[in-house]
Amino acid sequence: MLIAVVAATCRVSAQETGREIGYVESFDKKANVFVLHRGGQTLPIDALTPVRTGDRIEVLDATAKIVLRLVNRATPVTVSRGNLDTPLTDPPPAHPFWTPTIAWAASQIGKLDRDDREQVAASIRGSASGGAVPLLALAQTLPAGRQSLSIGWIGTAPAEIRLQGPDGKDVTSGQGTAGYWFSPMLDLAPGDFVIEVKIGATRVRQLVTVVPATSMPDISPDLKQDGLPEPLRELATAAWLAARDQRFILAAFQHVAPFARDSSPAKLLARSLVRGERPLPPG
Amino acid sequence: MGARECCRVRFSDQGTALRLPGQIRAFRERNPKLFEIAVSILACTLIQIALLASQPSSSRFVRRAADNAADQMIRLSERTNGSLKGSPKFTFFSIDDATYVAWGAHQIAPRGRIKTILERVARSNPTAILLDVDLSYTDSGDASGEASLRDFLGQYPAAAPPLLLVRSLYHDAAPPALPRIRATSYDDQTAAKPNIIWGSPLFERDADGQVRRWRLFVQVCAAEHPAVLPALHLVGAIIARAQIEGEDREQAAASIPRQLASFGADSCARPTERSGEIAPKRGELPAISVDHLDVSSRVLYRADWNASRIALGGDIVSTDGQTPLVAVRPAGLVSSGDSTSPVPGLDGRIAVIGGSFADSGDWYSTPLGRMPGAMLLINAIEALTINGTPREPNVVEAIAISFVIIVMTSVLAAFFRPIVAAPLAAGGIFLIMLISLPLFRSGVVVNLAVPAVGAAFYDLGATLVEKYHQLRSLGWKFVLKPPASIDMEPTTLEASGEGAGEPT
Repeated sequence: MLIAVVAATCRVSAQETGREIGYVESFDKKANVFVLHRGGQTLPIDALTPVRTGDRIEVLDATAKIVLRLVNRATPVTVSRGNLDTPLTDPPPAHPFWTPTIAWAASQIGKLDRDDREQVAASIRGSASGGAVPLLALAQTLPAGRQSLSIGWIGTAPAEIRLQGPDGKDVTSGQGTAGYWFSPMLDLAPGDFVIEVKIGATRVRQLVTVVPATSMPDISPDLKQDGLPEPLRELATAAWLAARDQRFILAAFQHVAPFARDSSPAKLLARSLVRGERPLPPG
Repeated sequence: MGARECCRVRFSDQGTALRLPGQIRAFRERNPKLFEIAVSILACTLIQIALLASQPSSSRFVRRAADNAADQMIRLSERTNGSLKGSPKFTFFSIDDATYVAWGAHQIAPRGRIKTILERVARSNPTAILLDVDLSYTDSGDASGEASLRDFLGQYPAAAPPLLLVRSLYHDAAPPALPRIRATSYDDQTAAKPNIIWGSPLFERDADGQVRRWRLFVQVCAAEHPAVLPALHLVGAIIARAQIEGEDREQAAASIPRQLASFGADSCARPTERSGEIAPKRGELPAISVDHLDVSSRVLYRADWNASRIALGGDIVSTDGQTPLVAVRPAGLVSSGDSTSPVPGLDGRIAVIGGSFADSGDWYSTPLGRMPGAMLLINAIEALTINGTPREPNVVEAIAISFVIIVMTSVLAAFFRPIVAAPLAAGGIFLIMLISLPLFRSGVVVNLAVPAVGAAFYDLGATLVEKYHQLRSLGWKFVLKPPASIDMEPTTLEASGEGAGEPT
């Protein structure tokens, strides 16, 4: 493929020679299938390699393609042996003076000027504004045992979380961002705990009762089948638990939160639980 | 212009009351137009002197007029950008919408991806790297990414290019108490790295929502002591200037705390106004200083933003050929490559990594339209490097420009109807803007506000005088609408030989 071939090169003035007009966006096959010729030099090609006026790209493989982004083209340009020898003339971008000056003068009377309007959300991103923790709207119940406690809240403001044990002392604490917090591994024994979430000036405290695992609702036998992928099992368990009772929303969240990052269904359910929404129980 | 007509009638009606000196009266009778122009020039000049003496830059009205004029110059300069010489070059690795989605649309930029980009860019010999991502927020669900970035920063080689990171601030006491620096989980790893510099990306937003001004530093409270945090664009400009002058970039960056030491506040209780020079004039590069003039903190934007373009601003002319001022590349292309391979085409450019996706929350209105925060930084670094601190013309230039504007508007008003004089005056102002464009591009901002305000005040005054005399002559009938048959332009009646004020 010849870009700005000899004919085009002749049209390019000495001032415009060597002007950067784009870059290599991608290519299939290996990079050594493509050769960049510039001013008598042979240069390697890689993604983001700049392309200048007067350059020639040679495609050695009949089935290879290379995609370029050029300043004068709104869409990528694909080059292959199929359009080899078709001159791809891309004159350097022009920088006239009077045309834009006249356009600027005309814009002063407002006829050709359009105001930029943007949609804004009436919330402050990333600052300590108040959030909401519907997950802790009611007292919650968790099973005892070794676990990492997950908390979620609405909004992206950072939050400070503290878990106090039955003796009033802090069991763990930390700062969470982007609406999620994961504690280190904890050994939770049965008892009454208090969890506190502080977002900006808003503080939420809620009782969390930790009960023996046997006191939790029996998991549906369907969810105990071997062969169920773990993310799917946890997702279904979370939905099942949340549907049982509002007291188990936080427990349900523990099952689905660790997978929310990588699994879209888990993310959807996690977000719903964070908003205090839960599947309706059957019947 | 009605006001001028009224003034002429007033003088002829009340000549005996005013008792002008004989010579002036004779001049007025021989050259009424010239007299009118002279009065207009004198009045406008006196008003301008009064405005300047009262420090009008603090007045919202004058400030807005000055801002509007400068905005127009910025737009004209950007549209006529051609070849630039000596300007630093930038590559903006944009976390665009495609990259954001490909990375999982997380609210916190994945730290592992950021680390890959930084690693590749650092191998590519850029002048400096600016990461416009706030690292004070951690994603507890991305522990491995956090750890990899922490390791990268901890092992950042001493020979690597300067790396500029964003430091965010917070208040733990109500203003005017100084803000505090928000800690990050990377502070320990970067503390002993002289080539990793933390800075503030703070700008000022005006009442109309436009970002027109930068801050070169911010006074903060650190461990109960006042301290100074440099602006990222100041650090970038100092490094770029060192590159242009052939000096050591790391040493230049390391000297910034010493240069800013005298700009700290007296205590953590409130900020203290400081002014002075931060970087001296070097060769063709003007000085960078801080003062209290409104114009000195203006960002003279050079490049607008267009998501569909891969090259922004004009072209930089160098020995390597011509290259765009700002080359835009998707960050996703860099993060998906081999982390040990350099990025082509980055030699000698300032690499800026930042977000331009729609949900970033990092969008601002500027005189050149909306742009992501990273472009604000790029424009600020470029302007500060080449123009230094924007300044007004010297006294002689300022007086000459003002005088030209006052004479032009006075002459036009004397000979033409207002409906014709106004667009002609506007055309004259445009011509002055065009002629002063090279001056503007060198960092000199002509303040067209004061002569314009002076002319506006003169017009207002003349109108008030006209109404006053109408009130005196008509009495309570002033509040009534005049009959359509009455000609309210006494000069017409005068010229026709009929008595002034008589209805036709």
